[in-house]
Amino acid sequence: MSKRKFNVVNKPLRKIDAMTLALGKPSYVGDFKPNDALIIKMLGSPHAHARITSIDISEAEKMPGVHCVLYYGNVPRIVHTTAGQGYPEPSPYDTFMFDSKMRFVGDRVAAVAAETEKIAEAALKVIRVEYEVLPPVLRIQDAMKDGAPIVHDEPEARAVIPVPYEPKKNMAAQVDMEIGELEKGLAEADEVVDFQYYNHYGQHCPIEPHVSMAHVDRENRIIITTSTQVPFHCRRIVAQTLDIPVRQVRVIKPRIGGGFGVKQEIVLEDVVAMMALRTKRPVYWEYTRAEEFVSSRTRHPMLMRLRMGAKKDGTITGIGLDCLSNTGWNGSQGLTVVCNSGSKMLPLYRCDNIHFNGTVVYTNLPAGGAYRGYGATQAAFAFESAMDEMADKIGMDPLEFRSMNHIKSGDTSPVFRALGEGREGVDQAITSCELARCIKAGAREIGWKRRKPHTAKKGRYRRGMGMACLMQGSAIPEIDMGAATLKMNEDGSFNLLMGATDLGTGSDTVLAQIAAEQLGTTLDQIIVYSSDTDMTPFDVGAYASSTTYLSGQAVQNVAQKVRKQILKVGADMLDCKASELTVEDAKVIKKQGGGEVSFSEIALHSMYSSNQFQIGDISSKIVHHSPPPFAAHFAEVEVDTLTGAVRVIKYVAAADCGTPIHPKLAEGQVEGAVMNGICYALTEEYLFNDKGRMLNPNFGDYKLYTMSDLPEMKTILVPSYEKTGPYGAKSIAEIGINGPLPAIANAIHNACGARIRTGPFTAEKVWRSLQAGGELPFEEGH
Amino acid sequence: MNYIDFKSPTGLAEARSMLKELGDRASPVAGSTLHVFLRDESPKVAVDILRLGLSGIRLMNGEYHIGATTTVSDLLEHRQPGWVLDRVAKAFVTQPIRNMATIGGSAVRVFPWSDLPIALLALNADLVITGDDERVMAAPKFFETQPFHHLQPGDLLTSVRVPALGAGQGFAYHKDRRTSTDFSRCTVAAWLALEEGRIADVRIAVGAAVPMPRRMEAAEEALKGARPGPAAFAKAVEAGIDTLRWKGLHGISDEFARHLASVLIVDVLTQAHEEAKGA
Repeated sequence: MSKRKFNVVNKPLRKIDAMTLALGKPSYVGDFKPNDALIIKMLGSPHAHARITSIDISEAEKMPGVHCVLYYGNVPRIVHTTAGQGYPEPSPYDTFMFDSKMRFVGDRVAAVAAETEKIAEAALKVIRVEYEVLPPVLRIQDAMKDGAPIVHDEPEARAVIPVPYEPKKNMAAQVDMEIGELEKGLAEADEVVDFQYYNHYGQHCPIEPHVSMAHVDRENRIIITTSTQVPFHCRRIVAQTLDIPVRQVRVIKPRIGGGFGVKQEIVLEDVVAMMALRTKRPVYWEYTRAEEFVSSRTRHPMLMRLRMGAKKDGTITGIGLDCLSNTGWNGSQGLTVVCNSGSKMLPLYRCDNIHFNGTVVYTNLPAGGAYRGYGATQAAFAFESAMDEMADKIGMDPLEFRSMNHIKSGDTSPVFRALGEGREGVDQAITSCELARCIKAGAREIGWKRRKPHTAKKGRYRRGMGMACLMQGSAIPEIDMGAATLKMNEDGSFNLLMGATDLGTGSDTVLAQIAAEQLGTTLDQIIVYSSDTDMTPFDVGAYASSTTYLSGQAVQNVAQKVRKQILKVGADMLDCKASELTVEDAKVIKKQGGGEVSFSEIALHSMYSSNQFQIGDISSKIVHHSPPPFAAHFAEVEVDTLTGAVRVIKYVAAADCGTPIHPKLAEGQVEGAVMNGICYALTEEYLFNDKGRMLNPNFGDYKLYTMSDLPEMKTILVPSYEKTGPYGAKSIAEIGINGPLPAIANAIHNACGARIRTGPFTAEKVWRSLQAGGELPFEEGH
Repeated sequence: MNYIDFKSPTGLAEARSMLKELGDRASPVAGSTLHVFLRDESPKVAVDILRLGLSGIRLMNGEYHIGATTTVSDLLEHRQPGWVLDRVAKAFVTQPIRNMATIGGSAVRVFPWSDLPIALLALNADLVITGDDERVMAAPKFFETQPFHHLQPGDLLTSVRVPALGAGQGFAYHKDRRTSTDFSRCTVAAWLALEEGRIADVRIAVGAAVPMPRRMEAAEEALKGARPGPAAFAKAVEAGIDTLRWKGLHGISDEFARHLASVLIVDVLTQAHEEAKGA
């Protein structure tokens, strides 16, 4: 529970950019496109796996209006990762700006910069390419078979941190962990479940696709304006890829039209930077929706085996989770995503015998990347489906089974130390957990007491309820760092400069609230600028559910320092000790009464009158914990047993995110994530042909829910107070997406007895399962 | 589409004359919502047909005369006895599209997901083509092939005539889709008339899961004279289902498309029967 009353935080104030965005004022990269910008277009590979045997760009180069054509023959060959992660990156170096080897349908062949889009597209058509077509790897299970085609046979491919990496076997990463002894745990069990589950491809579908532009300034520096979640990683990786110093690159992030993880990746920026350098003209590149689906990043599909043993009394004796993850054509985020599959779900239930294996394989399909949930989404499906399957076996209510086993405040788990982000993790005890209250509140809202077994249901349309418990993390402990600069202006306002990246979540508002609360002023007095690698201090960026918890602490720390400076100046002006003063309503006041000075007077005094100095400071923060937010999700569905169609009637998400700094934004994060998860569970599906070409890379055929599809949804924020977080806050942005897949799978089973273990839960799968008596032979999907 | 010019005639004769003169280079344009799906890159002159006075819905002698440029929104909002196209218009993607799309455009060029042709087949609509002469084509003939093939340069589909639903008659329409904005995976419509508790006449039409919208005549024949009910409907579907070639769209198998159609046809027959009974 919240321990104190707040003035600015924990209040649903107007978002600081709300009016700007609502009025459609220029905010996004595309709004700032210079009129004279050259347009970039990319020629994509028609083959999933091939080697270019010859390429002729001469006709394209000669075309009027074409300024530059890039291909593997005229750019530096520097191996790198596209993953926007801390240095040294846990993702393998396996990518080049351009290569003669094609690894997926859509892979970069050549890029053209031209006066218009039409000219650029015409130029692509006259580039002559001949390919030696190679057999592709299109299924996870085929990737590591003897004799499988090798996706990365180039000598440069390597891991930069000491982790298993065997590209000759198409293995991009591997992690293995055992606590206790799984086999012993399973032997002690009264019942064992052992099933395979498959999480399918999914795309983030930001309304604003990847978009970047660049120009070269008079000092020959490359200025990149880009829709990115990781401006500082972007700067570092672009410099590395172009073989130029970091100081030659500046990255500016304006507003982002949605990211969800897909913009934690350097997808366009290397090419726009190189084009700007070569042409000395502003250049602009925006992905089409088809390119966004195929050439940006996706959720890593995973084939999972979940083994669980339990006693009849509900004690879990062993848990084994094996994840075979498809990272596609490059290994971006592959290791850390699969680590999260273990580290974000295995501590959720108490168990002494746990085994986890995560193996990441290359295929000739679109690349996985960071996506909201980041591996936990995949594992939650297997884990929480298996919890229901076990509850059925031992004859317990799934809610009771979860309630008696889930982690609680004061508990720890050896998994926290055993599994970090690509390396060993950090010991931590749970200091805030209101999962029990989440379960209770969610069960009450959905009407769990009405739940009956599927065997008691009759008729064509049958309703059922399912649930799932979830946990995530808040930032990456001992790895990620955020920083903030704060300075005071003459009118008592403050500039808050942050590397933290608001990708549409409202984090600029949340962080400004933290600063205002600490400074004793109002939200409108905080002028936020984020992020610009020349102007704002370093921050790893917006990922790993870190912004509120990590960057929020950096802001809180710098605001504390500035508050001290303000009090010191106030003491000088009021002729008393700083300890006799406090801040309130943008004023320094004597605690005992009898004197006050406004922030404006303090700023003017410090700037112009005596002991002149700029009130301001910078603060960095690295966190030592990653306190999990917790959630209990409940779904009620209706299944048409004749057609297999599934309709979500109601969805309840009860979440403990500590103190919600901005409750409305926190609710919005949960609602958005749940919507995102529901359509991932039911309708989103990559369809490929047998050559690895995606057949539905557009919103007409790849179906997302719109507001008119929204089921009744209820979000319940169950407050706790996380003592290590800013004003008791933990994260909230990712956890919500992890629930719909298992909660809906469990609800379908409860409705009609069909157990679906491969996403998405299409009508045809449900119908076929019912035809087969509730169980289908397991099949790897896409 | 590659438009090089735009013409805006204000009368039918002027429009027809322009279309005739331009021949293959002309593209009649009303709501334009289908143009995004057309892949013809040859230079075209867009001829706006929205100002020809072809919009509006009138009831004459038990038949609705619907101008070809009447928007789907208008179909949705219209209320008069025996009017049923609002049920179809409701399933027609989103309001912004309904505001632009016209009944004529939806009829002239058929896509696998088209909504209106299936309803027009079930309702046995007549389609009026104005050329040098006025021709009236019954829906089954009109949709036998891509309807624009019936049009010579200068011809325009000018109106659609749909019988008003009478006493003892029922109509139902269903479009199966994953989301409210989705293309159809299977669309079915049924119209039936009861006399003395038996099916005097019936029409069943399907689309999306078949290459072109079609009537399921074998099922209709099986139902004529029969007492309506679940058993009769199921038997009729059995008689007709394999007379058409089923094609799964959007990731579903052909087998499931066939199954889906068989379930949904029974559903629309049941609903149409309920309406015909006056339930």
